[in-house]
Order: sequence, then C-alpha cells, then structure tokens
Amino acid sequence: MSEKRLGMLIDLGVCIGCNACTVACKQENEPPLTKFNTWVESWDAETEDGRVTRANLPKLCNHCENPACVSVCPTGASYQAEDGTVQIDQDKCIGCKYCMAACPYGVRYMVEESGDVSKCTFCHHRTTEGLLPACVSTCVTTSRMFGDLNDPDSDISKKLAEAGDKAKGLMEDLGMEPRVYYIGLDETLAAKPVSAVHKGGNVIAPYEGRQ
Amino acid sequence: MLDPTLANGVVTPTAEGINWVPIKPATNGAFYSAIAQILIRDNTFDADAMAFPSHEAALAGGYGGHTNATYLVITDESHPNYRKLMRAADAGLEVPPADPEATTQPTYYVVIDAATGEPALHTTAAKGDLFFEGEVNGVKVRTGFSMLRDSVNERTIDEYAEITGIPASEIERMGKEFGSHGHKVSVQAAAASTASVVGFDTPAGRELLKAMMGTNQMTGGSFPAGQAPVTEGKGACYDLTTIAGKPDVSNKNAVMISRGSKAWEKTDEYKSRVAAGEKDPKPMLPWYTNAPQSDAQAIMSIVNKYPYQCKILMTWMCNVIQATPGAMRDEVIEKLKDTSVLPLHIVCDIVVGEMAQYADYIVPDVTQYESFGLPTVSMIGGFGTTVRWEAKTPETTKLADDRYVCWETFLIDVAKACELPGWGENAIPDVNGTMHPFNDSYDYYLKAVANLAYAVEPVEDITADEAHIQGLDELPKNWKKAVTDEEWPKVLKVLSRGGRYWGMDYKRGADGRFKGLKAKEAYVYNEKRALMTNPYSGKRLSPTLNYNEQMFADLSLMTDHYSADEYPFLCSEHKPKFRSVTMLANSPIMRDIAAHNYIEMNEEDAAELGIKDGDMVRAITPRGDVTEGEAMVRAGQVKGAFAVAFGYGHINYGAQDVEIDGKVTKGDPAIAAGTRIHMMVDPVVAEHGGLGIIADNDASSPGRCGGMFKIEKA
Ligand code: SF4
Ligand code: SF4
Repeated sequence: MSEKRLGMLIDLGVCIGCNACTVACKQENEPPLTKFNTWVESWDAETEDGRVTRANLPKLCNHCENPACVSVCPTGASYQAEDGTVQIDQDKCIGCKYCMAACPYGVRYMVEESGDVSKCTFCHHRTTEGLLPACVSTCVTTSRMFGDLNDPDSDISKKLAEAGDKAKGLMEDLGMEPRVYYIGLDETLAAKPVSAVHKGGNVIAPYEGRQ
Repeated sequence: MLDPTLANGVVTPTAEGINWVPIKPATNGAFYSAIAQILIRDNTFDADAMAFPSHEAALAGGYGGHTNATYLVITDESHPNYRKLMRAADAGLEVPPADPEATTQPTYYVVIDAATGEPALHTTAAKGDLFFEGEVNGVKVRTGFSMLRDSVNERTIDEYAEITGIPASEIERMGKEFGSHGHKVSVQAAAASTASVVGFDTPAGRELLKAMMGTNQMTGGSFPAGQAPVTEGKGACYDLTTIAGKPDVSNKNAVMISRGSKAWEKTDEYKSRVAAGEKDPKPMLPWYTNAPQSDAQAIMSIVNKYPYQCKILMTWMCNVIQATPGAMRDEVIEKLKDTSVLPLHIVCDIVVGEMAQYADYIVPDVTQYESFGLPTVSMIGGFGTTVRWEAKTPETTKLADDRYVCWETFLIDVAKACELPGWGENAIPDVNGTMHPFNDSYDYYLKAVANLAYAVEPVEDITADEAHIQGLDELPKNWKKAVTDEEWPKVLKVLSRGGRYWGMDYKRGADGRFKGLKAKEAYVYNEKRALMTNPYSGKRLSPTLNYNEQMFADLSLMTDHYSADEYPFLCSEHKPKFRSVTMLANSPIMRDIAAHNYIEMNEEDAAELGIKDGDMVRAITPRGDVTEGEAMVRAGQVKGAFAVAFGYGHINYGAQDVEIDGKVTKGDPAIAAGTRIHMMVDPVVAEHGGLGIIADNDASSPGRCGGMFKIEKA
C-alpha cells in the first residue's frame, strides 16, 4: 500500500444541493458540454414520519481501492496512482470503453472529439500542488471534505472515525471499495422518493408516482 | 420552514430538527394570525414585553424592545381623531414642557398605567394595561392589543388550517413550541414566496410574533444582524454622503413616479379635479399612501404616462419588465419602444436583456470582478463589511484618461457635463473639511475603504512583503491618488483581507442584549394603515394583524370578480438555483446544468387533473394569460398552488433573431428555454383606463405569488 491514500467525505446532512461544486468543477476541468466529472442528484424524499424532505447526493468517481475500471483496461491507461487515486493516461487510452462498461457508478464518459475516456481526477493537478479539489474548496457548507485517509490526524480521518458506521460508500456490496464516503447515506436512500430525480436541474429519472 | 415549495436546502432526510411545512401562497396573514391566537389563548405570550410602552420602560425591565400594544385607540366614530392613537391632548393630560433646542417635539400617547389603573402618558408608565376598553376623558377608547385579540380571532384555527393548507394539529404544535422558549425564538420571512397582493401581512405578522415573545434585540432571540461601520456615509476619514448645494428634492416637494408615499386625496390631480367640479374622482393608476419607491410601479407609470410623463429613463443592471410579474407583455413593450411615450431610455448593463433591448442607448458596464462595492450582508450575525474590488482589469473600453467605461464613469461624466454639485473637483469632504476630487470610481470607493480601515480601531499597515505576495504593489496609479499616503497602506490591508469583520462579542452585551440597543418599537396597532383609505373604494384595511384574502386595487376580493371553482390554483415564484433573476441564461455551463425550469405541481393535484411528470401543461388566468411549461410533479409542492423558478422564459437576451441594417443574426432558442409566470393585470385598474399590475395595496410591490389560475394539459 502506498503511503498516501486520498479520499473524500461528503456530509449529506449539510449538502444543500446548491451545485456550486458542479460549477466549480466545470470551470476547473472543462469537461465537454453534457458531461460532468461531478454532479449533484436531488429528489423529494419522504422520511419515515411522513415528512417530505429534499435529498441531495453529490456524485463523482469514487477512486476505488479495488476498481473494476482498472482491471478491465487492456492497455494500462486506467491505473491507480501513488496517492491511491484512479487516473487515466490519455496517451495509452484507445477508447475501447471497457472501463465505462465496468464502472458500476457511471462516472466515466467518452470525449467525442478526442475519442478518449475521461472522468474526475480528484483534481490531481491541484492536489499535487497542495491545493484541494475545486469542488471541495468551493463547497459553501463544507459538506465536502478531502484528505489523506492513511493519516489518522487528517481532518477527514478524524471526521470518519467520529462518524463510525454512519459513513458509507455507494454500493459497497459490489466490492469496489469506494473511497468517497457519505455521512447519512443510509437515511438518504431509505427515504421514499416522491419526485423525479434531477441531475442539477435536469430530470434523469421521471417520477412515476407512489409505487 | 414554511414555504409553498420545498427548495434544496437544509431540509434533507438527515438534517435533524428542521421540517418543511407546506403553506399556500398569499396566506401568511392567516398563519401568523393563528399563531398569535394560540399565544393569546394559551397565555403563553410575554405579557411584560408587550406592555412596555416605551424604550426606557423596556430597558428598565431587562428587555430590548417595546410595543404600542397598550396605547389607547380612539374608537368613537364621531370623534375627529377616530382610528388614531389617543394623544395627550385628547385625554386632557399635561405634557412636559417643550425642549426649545429640539427641532422636533415628541408625540405623547396615552396608556392606562398598569400600576394605578389611571390614564398616563406612554412615557411615564412602566407598563400599560393591555386589555383596557372604556372611556378616557369622555372619549371611547380601547387598547391596540384588545383589537388585535379580536382580529386574530376572526377565524378559528380550523379555518386558518383550511386557508393555509397546514393541518390544524401542525399549527397547534408550532404555536405551542413558539410560546415555549421564552424570548429565545424568532421568525424570519422575506421576499419571493411572501410577495403577493396581501404581502404586507408577512412583515406585519413577523414583527408581531417577534414582539409577542419579547425577542427584539435579545441574544438568542431576534438579534439585530447586518451592522457595519460607516463606509459610504460620514465615515472615519471621509464624508461620502454630504453634497454641498444638492438640489432639494423630496416627497415634500416632488412626487415619486411610482405613486408611493402619497394619498390620492393629497395629490394635485385630485385637488384640481375636485376644484373643476368633479365629484369623487378616481385615479387612472392607484396611489399608495404608505408605499416606498417601487421599480415595478414606476415602469407601469411610465408606460401609462401617469401621473406624469417620464422623459428620461435610466436603469442600471436591472431588467424591470422581466422582474415584474405581468409586465413582460406586448402592450408594455410597444409603449417602451414608442418615443412619444418614453423619449429617452438609457440602459447600463453587462448584457442586453429584455430591458436593454428597447433602450435608445446601452452603456456597457463591468462585472462584479471588475468593480467595487462594500455590501453589508444583512443576514450575517457579526459586525463588518465585505469589500469587493476590481480584482481583474475590466473588459470594457479604456478611455484616454485610463478610466474604463462603466456605470460610474458614465455618471461622473454626465454629471460633470450637467455641472451638478458633488462631482469633479472639490466634491468630497474629508473629516477636516478639506475637499477632494471625484473623477473616477476609485475616488469614491477607495475613500469608502479608507473609512472602513480607520473604523473603530485603525488596521495595521500592510507590510511590503504581503503587498508584494498579493500583487497589491502593482495596482494602477489612479488608485493610490484617491487616498492619502498615510491611508494607502491601511487601505491595502483591508483590500488584502477582502473586508473587515468583528466577532459576535462586539455586539453581544453581557446582560443578554444587543450592545448597541436602539429604540425598537413593534406596531401592534398600525396607525398609518388605519388612516389610509383606498383611492377607488374608500375602504380601509385592518390596523391590527388579520388574514386578508387576495384583493384587487379597490380592495374588492379577487373571488368576487372571478370564480374560485373555475380558477382554483395559486402560484408562487422562487429564486432559481441555476439562473439569476434576469441573467445567466447566456451561460453554456448553467444551461448544461439546467436546461429549463418547470411548472412544479403537487402530486395529488396532478393526479386529479390527469397530469404526469414531464407533461406540458398550461396555467391560465381568468383574463387569458397563459403560462406554459413542463410539469414537475412532486410531493415537495403545496397542494392548490404551482411554482415556477424565475429567470427563465426569456424573449430577448440573445434568444431572438436580430436584424440590423438588413443583416440577420440568429438567436439561440436555448436561451429562451423554460417558462415565466404570466400574471394577470388588475381588472379594476383596467376599468379606470390604466394598465396596472396586481399589487400589494400597502407596499405597492407586485403580486408575485397568489393570483388565480386553472391548469390544463397543453
Ligand atoms: S468509480 Fe468507477 S471509474 Fe471511479 S475508480 Fe471506481 S470503478 Fe473506476
Ligand atoms: S457545493 Fe457542497 S453544499 Fe453545494 S451541492 Fe456541492 S457538496 Fe452540496
């Protein structure tokens, strides 16, 4: 195991779905129009006591510890870097899209112009210069936290330790060992969806009514 | 959180201790009345706080605010001062001798002193009797509080539940909770979904509830926010507000084009029409006795050429027709284009939106990153001001004298050409009375920054190192000349920190109150409203809080004109997440994140109408205005109303094809995507020959929410 292991922690209790992170990422990384390295999904969610709330779930590449995208890549373009993050070497990418099919989180996309596959890099170009990823440094409520998971004194490690089993990754049962953690994920997903799911302000799953 | 629409925000599945309670638009008066009724019924309101008749009495009692709840109101209809608060003279009470030095003398109101049971000046009683009804000096009177008790009891909790859409049990729960924390409670309410034709009930109710629990200026209660040192006024270094020889224009000698702060019967028009023999003349557009200025009303006055013609219209970074519900319609646009209606129209903006589209001249402005501002954020708790400064070289044209074209440059040059006082040489006095020039925006804003730098305790000088690291040693020459050599390193220090803020301790007194306590009176009885008569019907609104149904300009109920069965829906507008009020539709990133907005509908309403999520639907007013858009069917929308995020549905702003000298430039329909509410105009104003928006009859602000609609599949 490398010495450093970068990861992210998102506290859903204070994510207000403002999408400032989405905009900051768009400006920083310039993914093509219609593509997003990070985005926020929002929907109306009815909790057990019958009250309606608004769920917000920021998404991005989970920089998995056991990433399917890396193991299926035939050229080694997708790889795990020293700091534990999952990166793509564009020079080696042949655009076969295996990784896109393998990633269960749907965070990879094809850049039509170049034929390469792309995704969130955890702002590798910033973190190597000692800066935070753009989405983290812009987050208006400090819902997003970032740092070295291997350093027990880092803010993120301390917050994770404090959260205990309240902090979870998405679809952990798939065995990818995602390194983006969410506080409050279970409650958020347990609440009954009572509207369309929006990605930013666009519908990605229309509301079919109460099932 | 009461809101017609569940916005993204803190009400998430995991946030504890905060609930969304759906409320129908334009019914806030009913909700506040219900809570006040419960507080009175259960006797959980703070009777001490309500009974302090003066600031001094409240202070002595350990509180930060007083009310006029105990002031006596003359209820004798034959009395010349009927509906007014009783004055000392009405009660035959002696008043202290007038202070010969003072420019204004205090008004002495009358209360029943709780200690003696006798009439007394409000300044002498420690507490007044809240409930008195009877005679004083032979005049029939009662307290404002007793009138409030009646007005909030006009309806039952069940009726308020029916009106607001909030279950009675939920209202009871909130009423109990609000009354159970002493003065450590508060109410926040403003803007958007509270703005309706009965919008005045919102601030009125909010202030009443704050006062009923004695929360004003108390730590943990309604603690004052948004204080800052003087920057753009008479500051520590410069006086940026006094202008020697400024023309004396005020409400006393001039009339606001928006028809505010003037009773119809006090207008020259009324007087001359009566003098000409007309009986009971009516105005073409309403006058608002107690309203402040209003851009929405001003634009309607301009297109109606009433009460007078606007010869020159200048707007800066605002899109009044888009922001005024019901104003972006052909009849208004045709008038704006007509030079016989509006001879000269100058717009200063960074984009060509709907307003600029019809201007004669467009002066390019700079963005927020290319300009200065010292905004005091009203919601922040501490004390201080942020400084926004020209962090980037402006993109606009650079003039020969090194200034950039922008609003300030334009104002300065026009003012100088017109030889107005307060601009050019010898314009701005410092604290010693020495005059300084005002030739560019730096001359003004950097002096405001100097005021901030020297406020309370002057800041340290910036060190050379720090100035260098931040590039502040490379600022253009015309910045430094705006202040003295001594001020400059302190100005830079403030710029380097983006402003100055003091901690909460600066404001919190050890006694649990605001350190800067100032007299804070809450109106239980609103005398100004009591005396206001409607220009069309002569009717009056309640001087104490109650629920008002939606009304038109003559205070007739909307439902007297149009069928509530046929038009059962209300609407509300809310701030968009992915647009500003009028801008950002030109941003490909924002359009990528949200292509358009929706007509947000409650799931049960939609099911009844056979509407599915994603269907195109139309909301239609009784006057035929049509709002068309894609339905978002959701549980997070109150039943009986639909909602629309504003900032969408552009007709210009690059959405349209433009033909100049025969050359057509194609517009981008993506900029036009989405919808905006097409609100009906006021049918009563139409009867009097005017084109008027539906509006709040107190504040004159537009009826943004509420209205009457039917909804159908498109
Ligand atoms: S989220 Fe998908 S793309 Fe990212 S590391 Fe995991 S498997 Fe690979
Ligand atoms: S910026 Fe922060 S609060 Fe806003 S949506 Fe992103 S994660 Fe949530």
